[in-house]
Amino acid sequence: MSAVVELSNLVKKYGERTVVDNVSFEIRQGEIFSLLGPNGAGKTTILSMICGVVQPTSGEARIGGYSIVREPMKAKALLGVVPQEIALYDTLSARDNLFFWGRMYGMESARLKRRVEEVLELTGLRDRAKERIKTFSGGMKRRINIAAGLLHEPQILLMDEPTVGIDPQSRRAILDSVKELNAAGLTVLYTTHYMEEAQELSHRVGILDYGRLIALGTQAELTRTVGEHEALYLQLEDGQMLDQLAAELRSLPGVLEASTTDSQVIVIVSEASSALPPVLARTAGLAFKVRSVEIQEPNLEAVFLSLTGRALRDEVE
Amino acid sequence: MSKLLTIALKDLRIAFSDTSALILMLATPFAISLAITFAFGGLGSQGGSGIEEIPVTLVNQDDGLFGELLVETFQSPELADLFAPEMLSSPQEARQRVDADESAAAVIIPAGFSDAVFQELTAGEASAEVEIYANPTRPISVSVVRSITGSVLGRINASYAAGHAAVEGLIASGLLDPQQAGEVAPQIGQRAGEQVFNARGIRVERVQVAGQREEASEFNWAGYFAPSMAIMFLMFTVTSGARTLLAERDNGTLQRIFAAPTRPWQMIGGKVLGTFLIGVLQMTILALATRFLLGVRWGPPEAVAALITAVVFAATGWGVLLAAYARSAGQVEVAGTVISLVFGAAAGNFVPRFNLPAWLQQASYISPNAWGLEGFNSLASGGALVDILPAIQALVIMGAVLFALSLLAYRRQMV
Repeated sequence: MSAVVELSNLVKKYGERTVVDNVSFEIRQGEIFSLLGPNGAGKTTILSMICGVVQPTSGEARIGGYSIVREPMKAKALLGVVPQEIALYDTLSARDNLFFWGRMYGMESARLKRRVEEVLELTGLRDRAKERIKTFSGGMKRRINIAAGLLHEPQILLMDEPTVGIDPQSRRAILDSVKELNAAGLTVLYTTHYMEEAQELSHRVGILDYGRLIALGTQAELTRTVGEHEALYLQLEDGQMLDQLAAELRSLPGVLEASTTDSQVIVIVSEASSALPPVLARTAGLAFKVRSVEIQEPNLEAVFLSLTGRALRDEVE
Repeated sequence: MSKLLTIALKDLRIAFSDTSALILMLATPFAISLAITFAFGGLGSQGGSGIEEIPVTLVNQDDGLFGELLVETFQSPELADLFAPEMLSSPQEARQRVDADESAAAVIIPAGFSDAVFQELTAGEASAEVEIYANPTRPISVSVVRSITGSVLGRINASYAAGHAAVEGLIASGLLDPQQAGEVAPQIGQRAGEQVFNARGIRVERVQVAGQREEASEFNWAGYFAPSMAIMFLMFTVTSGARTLLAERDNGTLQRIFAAPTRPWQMIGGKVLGTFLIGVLQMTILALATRFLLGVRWGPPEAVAALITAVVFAATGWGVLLAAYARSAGQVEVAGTVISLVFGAAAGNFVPRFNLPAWLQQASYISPNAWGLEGFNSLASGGALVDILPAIQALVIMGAVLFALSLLAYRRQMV
C-alpha cells in the first residue's frame, strides 16, 4: 500500500518549548492509523500541522504527495478534518452549517446539495436538519461535526479525539462509523488517549509522549516489545496511598513495573500465576483493600507503561 | 472570491438571525429616535428648539435716530416670535434682570450714541458702543441677541459707506464744490441714516451659532438624533463584528476554515466584508424606518447612500483595527464599547454637536461619528452630494489608514 501521508522530521517549537520533537511516520492508503498518547503529548499539534493550520518549525508533511507548506491548497483538498471541539455555528441550522462547510471546500452546487442530504442521512439527523445547532445534544453536535468533515468525500479523514466528553452510546456510534468509513476505503488518522479505542480501531498505532514518537507499529508488533509479559489490574478502595503500594510491589520478584491510576495499580509481571500470590499478600500486608483483580494479556497500556514508567490514564484530565 | 462572499454572507445571516443583535442594531437606535421625536417635536414635525421669545431687556438713553432704530428692530413684528423685549430706563435695573436670570441679555444704548456714530463715521473721532450685558447660562440666546445687534450696526456702516461714496462721486463729477462738501456731507449722512431706519425689516432666517448654520428657531431634533443614533449603534455593530473574528478563533471555526483550502485573505476579507455589509444594512434600514415612520428628512437618497457607505467603511476600519491588536474577543468587546461611547459623546451623538466646546468638536474628527453627523446634518438641511464630498473623502481616508494599520498586525493575530 502506498503512503498518503508522510511526515519527515516534523518539529514544532513555541519559543524554547518543543511540543513536537522530530516526528516521522507514514500513513498508508486505506488504513486506520491512531496516534495514542496522554494529553499534552502533541497529538493535536501534529494534526494541525498536517492540515496546514499550524506551520512546522522544521520538517515536512506531505499529503497525497503535496507538501502542506508549498502546495497547501492541493494538499488540503484531499483532507477531511474533524476537530476535537465542536467547530460549528450555533445559530445556524444543521443544513446551513453543512452548506457553509461544503462551500469552503469549493463544492459546486448540485454535488453539495446531494452530499448534504447523504451525510444528514448518515448521521440520522435529516429530520432535524432545519433546527439550529444550539438546540442539539452533545452527541448530535458531534455527528454533525463529523459530517462536515466528510461532505467533500476526502481521501483522508483526520479525527482529533472525536469521542471526548460524550455518552457511551454516541461513542459507540462514532467508533462504528469510523470502521464503516474505513471499510468503504477511507484512510483515517485518529488521535486518542483512550487505549481501548486505539486497540479497537487501528491497523497501526503511533505512541506519543512529550512530543516524541516513542513507538510505532501494529498492535502485535508493539506488544511484542513488552515481551511475553502480563498485566495485573488491582482495583482498590478509594482514598488509599496507591503510589506507596506501587513502590512496594516493584521490589517483589517477577514484578517488572508497577504504576497507578485513580483507584488502580497496574503491575507488569513475567508470569501472572506465580506473581499474583506475593502481590496480593504484600497488598494485604500493607492493609490495602482489594476490590477486584484482572489479568490481561499484553496491551497498548502495558506498552506505554513499559516505555514511560507511567500509565496512560495518569495524564488524562 | 466565492469563499470570501460565502464567509461574508454567513456572517450577515448570523447577525440578522440573532434576536439580541437585532435589538442592539435596529430596535434600540430606532426606539431612542422615536423617544426624542416624541419628547421634543412630535411625529413628522420640525420640533422647536426652545429658542423663541428670548427675554431681552432694552435701555435706550440715546435721543437720536440710531438708538431708536435698534429698539425698533427688537420690537418689530418680524421678530415678535423670537424676542420678548422689555424697555427699562435704568441700565442698573436692566443688569439686575439679567443677573436674576429674568433676561437673556440687556442691550444698553448709551446717551449720545447716534451723535457718536455719526462722528465716528464722518471723522473717525468718537467711539460709539452698545453694551450687551449677557447671561452666561443662555449662550445661544445671547448669541442671537448679539447677531441682531451686529446686523443693525452693520447696516449703519453700509449706509455711511453709501453716503461717503455719493459725496465723492458728486465732487468727482464737478457737481459739488469740495469747499461745500463740509456743509453737504452731514445732510447726506442724515438721509442715509433715514434710509437705514426705513429699511429696518431685518430677516433672521439663518443665524450663526457656534459656527453651525442652523435655523435658530427651527432645530430639528428628530432629524439630528436619527442619524446620530444610527452612527453610534453602527459603531457597536462593527466592533461586535470584528469581535467575531477572535470568537471564531476561540470556538475553533477559524482553524476549521484554515484547514479547508481557503487562503488567509479570503478569510479576513470575508469577515471584513461581512461586517461592512451588516453595517450598511443596519444604517439603511434605520434611515428608511425613521424616514417613513418618523418623517425624518435625510436628504437626497444618492447622497445619503454615498455617505452611509463611507461612514460604514471608516467605522469598519476601527472595528478591524481593534480585532487586529486585541488578544481576545473579550478585549474587543470592552474596547469596542468604550470607543463607541467616547466617539458618540465627543462627536455629539448625545447632545447637539454645536453645543460642545470647539476643541472637542475638533478632536472628534478622529471618529467616523463626527464626519458622518456633519454630513447627514448638511444633507438634512438642504445640502447635496457635492456639499458632503469633503466628509466622504475624510471617511474614506480614515478607513484606508485603519485597514492598513490592521494588516500590519494581522500576522500576529492569525493562527
